[in-house]
Amino acid sequence: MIKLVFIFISMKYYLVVIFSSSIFIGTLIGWLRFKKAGPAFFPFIICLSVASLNEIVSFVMTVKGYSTAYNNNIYVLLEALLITWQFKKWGFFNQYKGAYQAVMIIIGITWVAENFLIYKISAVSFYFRIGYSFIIVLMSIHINNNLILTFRNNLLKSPEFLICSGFIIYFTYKILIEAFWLYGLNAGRDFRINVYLLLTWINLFVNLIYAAALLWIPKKPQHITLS
Amino acid sequence: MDTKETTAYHAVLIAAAVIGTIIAYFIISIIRQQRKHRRLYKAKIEAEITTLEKERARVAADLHDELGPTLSAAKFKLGSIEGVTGEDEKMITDAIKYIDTILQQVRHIANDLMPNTLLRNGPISAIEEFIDHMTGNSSLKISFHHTNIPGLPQSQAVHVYRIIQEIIHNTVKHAGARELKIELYGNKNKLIIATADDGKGFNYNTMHKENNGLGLSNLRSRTDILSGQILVSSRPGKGTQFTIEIPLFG
Repeated sequence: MIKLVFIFISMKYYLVVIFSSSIFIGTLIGWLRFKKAGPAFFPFIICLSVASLNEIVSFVMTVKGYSTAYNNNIYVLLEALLITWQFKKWGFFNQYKGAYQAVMIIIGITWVAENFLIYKISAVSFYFRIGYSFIIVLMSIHINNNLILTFRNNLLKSPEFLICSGFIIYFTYKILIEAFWLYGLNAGRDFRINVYLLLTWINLFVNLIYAAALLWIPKKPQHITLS
Repeated sequence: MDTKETTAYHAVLIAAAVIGTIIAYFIISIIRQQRKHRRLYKAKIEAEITTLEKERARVAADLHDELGPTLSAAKFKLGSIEGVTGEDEKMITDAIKYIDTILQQVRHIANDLMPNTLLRNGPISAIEEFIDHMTGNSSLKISFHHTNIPGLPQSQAVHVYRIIQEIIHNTVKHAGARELKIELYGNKNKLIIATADDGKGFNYNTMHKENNGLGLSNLRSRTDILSGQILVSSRPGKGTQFTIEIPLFG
């Protein structure tokens, strides 16, 4: 019976690994299109690459029996900073002078405070995760609302719209799941794995949206020159 | 999972399902509204510009077909009068000269409103004629190359002509450029208008956001009507490049 439960949990773990590996599709497309598409989506492509690297590190750490909290805590900081940089590239901070620097500093301070001052870096940083997810959802809603009024072609062909929709879906669920995870810290392993598995389904769906968005990134215009 | 955990897990699932439904409805609703808005906007702009072009064509035709012959007839009548004195003869000659000037101006205005060449010989001849006219009246050196141009319906030809006319006008008025290169060519199922100048350039994002520049707005509207895409590259001091891609249907 114990062996059966272990196999079941292992199966779920490998399912999580397989679903999370879907991030590699987007990363590969991103780098293949990078030269033709130009630097407009550079932070996002870097973010996907860091996520891919984190998946590999997490897998190795788990197999070796170490905690993945260290690499995941560092990853969420990089993710928050890179996505905020991407929003800057999309012009989110154009209207508010100094807001970009302020958001970056707040992200950094919150991360340091939770991981070194209030708790330890060896523990999962729930409050930081909930906080930055909330900020990303708000920024994504703003960009999508702007696109509704200004984008003149099919919205489903807009990489910004698709990526921001992906952010809204993923980070809304992340807030929900992290909150329940926080509640279930004292609960059994089964409960925690089941809750996390739900996020990996969303992760798979969103990774496919990111891959589609990266396929839609327009090529750099081939302008003529005077010479 | 024990009973308490199972209940909590069910709560997670229900919350996830509700949030998923709300997000899905929100995104689908956004896409539908944007499509509707885009359709209405395009129809509105198309109606406005079509009305404008029809009105221009009507006024040009009236000037050309009615005012022109009337003035010519008046000139003929004046020419047939024989003056009694030298002073009379001079007055008649002056009046004929005035009528000639008016006739020239009427032809010029009619041509500006709707070039006859555009209607008779198509956009290429009309563009070449316009470039000749502009080169004669400004210090801007304009080169125009065209290859592989498919036959365009008249409504499309008018838009293509107006787009190039607008770019030339903008370059003369605002760019302070010495040279403007224009290329018009068919590429697979697209018509490409590509231009480059060596003028002072501008900040496209600022111009776009502040809604400055009627010329730029006209370019965007006409490109939208043609379901095309306008790509602009311009930086202060680095000149301006436009690439406009227009899909060719059928």
